[in-house]
Amino acid sequence: MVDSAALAVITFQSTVIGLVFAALGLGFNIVYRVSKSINLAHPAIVLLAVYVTLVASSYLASHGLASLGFALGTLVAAVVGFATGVAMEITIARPLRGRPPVALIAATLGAYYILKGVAKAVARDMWTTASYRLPGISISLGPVVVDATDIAAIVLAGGTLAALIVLHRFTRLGVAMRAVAEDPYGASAYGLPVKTLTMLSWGLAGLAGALAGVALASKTGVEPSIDLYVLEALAASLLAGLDSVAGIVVGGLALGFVRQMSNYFLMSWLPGFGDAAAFILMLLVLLVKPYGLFGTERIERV
Amino acid sequence: MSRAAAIGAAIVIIIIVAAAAYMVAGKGAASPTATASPTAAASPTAASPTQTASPTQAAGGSAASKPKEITIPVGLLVDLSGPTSGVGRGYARGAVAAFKYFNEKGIYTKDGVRVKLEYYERDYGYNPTRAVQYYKEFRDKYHVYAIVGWGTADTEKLSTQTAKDKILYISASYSAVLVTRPYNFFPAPDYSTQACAAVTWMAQRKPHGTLVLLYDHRVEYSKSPIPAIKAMAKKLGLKVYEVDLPLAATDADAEAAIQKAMQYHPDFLWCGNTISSCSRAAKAMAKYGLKAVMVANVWGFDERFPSLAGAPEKLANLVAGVSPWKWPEYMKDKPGYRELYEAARMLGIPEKDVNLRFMQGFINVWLLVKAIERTDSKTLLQKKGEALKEALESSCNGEPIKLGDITPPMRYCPGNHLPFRSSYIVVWNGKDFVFEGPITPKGVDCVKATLKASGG
Repeated sequence: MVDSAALAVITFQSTVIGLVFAALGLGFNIVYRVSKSINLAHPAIVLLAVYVTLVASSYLASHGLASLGFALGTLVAAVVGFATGVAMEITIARPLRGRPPVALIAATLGAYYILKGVAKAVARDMWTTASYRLPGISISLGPVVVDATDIAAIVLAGGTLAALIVLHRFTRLGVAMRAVAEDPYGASAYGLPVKTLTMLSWGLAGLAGALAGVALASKTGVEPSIDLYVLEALAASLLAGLDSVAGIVVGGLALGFVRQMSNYFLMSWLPGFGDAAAFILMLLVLLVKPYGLFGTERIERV
Repeated sequence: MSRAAAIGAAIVIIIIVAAAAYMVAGKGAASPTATASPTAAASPTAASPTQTASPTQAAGGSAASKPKEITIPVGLLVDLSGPTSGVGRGYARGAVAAFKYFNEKGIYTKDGVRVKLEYYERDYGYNPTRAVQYYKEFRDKYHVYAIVGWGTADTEKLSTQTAKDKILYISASYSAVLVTRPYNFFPAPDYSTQACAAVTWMAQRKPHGTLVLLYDHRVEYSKSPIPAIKAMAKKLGLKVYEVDLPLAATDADAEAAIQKAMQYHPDFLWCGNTISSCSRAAKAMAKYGLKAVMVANVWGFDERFPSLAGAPEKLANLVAGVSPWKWPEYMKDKPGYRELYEAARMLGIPEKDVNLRFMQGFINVWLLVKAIERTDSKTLLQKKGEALKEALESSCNGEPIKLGDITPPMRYCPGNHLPFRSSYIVVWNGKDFVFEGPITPKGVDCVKATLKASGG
């Protein structure tokens, strides 16, 4: 028999982890929309942001700002994430514009290793397992206990998703970015600054990755191998459709629920099946809808 | 900015970043030769020119032309980037410190020949396939005499080959399976014997209690002591249940595992993963008010545990770990521990970094040094890894090996490389760590229980 209290806890945690996966996957989707390629350096941007937050918050704590350490550290990480995204657009994506997508995929793979080295350099002695210092908040909602790590993850992941979806759908800047993503030549003809908007998109993808990374590290602890979770989030992106920004919420939540529920209910028979289950779900969806649940179907005439 | 200028700027930035990354990554990951070569000024033999005999030359030479100094190649296989890197980094740092420290201090064979250790460090990311690749590199390119290694899956996988190649292998894995492998050694009881000590401690606190085993059911390291725990629990009258906890656990995974465990109303939890996963589980325990006592495996518990779990006060007397040794911070002035701090001072390593993980890496290299000190130069050059193995096994009926006060006297016998059987249970009391024991499990052959289950 299913324990209802346990089910409530797992449902809540599935939602939180699903939001985190959605926010992590968002960076892949934003880049895909403007550059029609997968940014394999995205996991390293996340890793870099996670350690920047740790280093910055520890530095602030050692200077008597412990209570503000996490918040300010996250802010620094967001700036670093944005700047890294912009730098990648200028140094990698822009020179490779017009080349086959595989060239950009290969270049971002190279950037992944470089950024991982940079993350190590930033972390120095802190390149190990650690936890962010968060206040000891604990709120009971029936059987579910919500603590500071849950709140941090919900606020950062949910906030990032909400802000970027609103920006994309309901602001003039978002409309311009969508226009550039749909038809860069047409957008240019209408006088839109295509280069700047593409660069901004990469920057926002980096920013989303950074904030999602801090949300993730709140739930997993800071780990040198935390970037592996970002590859799982790629499944959420593919499930939603790589060019769908809003659809990623559904993709992330589906991934979170399938992963956690499978892990819990199949624990005795197929331990650790959750990771595989998420990818099986992705595979099944892609077999039926090759462009994902919300992806734009492209028809090529020959 | 024109397109050409943008490309130019891009190339310059990439070169600068790549150079910075190379400099950083080169220290850890796959640096081709991270060798320890002490400076001439620091070397006791620096006044007279040293005769460094390459192993092949010396092996063919006569005993009469005894070299004054020999250099032997050693592999160092560590996890700096994989799922166990949270504990692997400290271990690697301790091992590297030991290589440098003992090279500086001087290692001498029985017949007074100085030996220098030339080590080659590789980060295999806890990937057994990559471990095999690096093993082949160590063997075929560097012709190593010994390897200071890491994980259970890779060490077990390589153990047959190391026996064939006669390469001494000192691992951070204390798997029971390795106890019977001819070239595998470690300065600790195996995981199963350690876990049996924990079960004994639990039964002393509450006979006929309920024990839930939290571990990753897919990971060799986590699975290794489970048969022995079950055998010991049965003998002592504890009820046992099993719950899967991933090695790379999120809070969501840990809370699911704790929710499942709570259905069995446990008095005790065994956590068989590494510290990241176990501390997440302890955090979930505190969050949901589970008042069971969690005892974690040696790699699942160290000085950082209470802060990683995030609830140091709530977890007072509810979390503990097994450790075959007392931790450095509590034994600073004792023999053996003094060497750790001396090495750290010599190498500019902050005292706070001399922790359990550092010590584990350090003493593995120290065991290799002990092997060298128990052999003579001719045998070492001729028989290489086999000489080192025989040197350690000479402790079976001869003088036992001691690493200061860190370990009790250790004896390695052919076919049984279990050097001692006692472990401490380190309990977090809310303010400090308290060492209970040492406890020696009795009534069950824990190594045999694990070997029987694994078909070994």
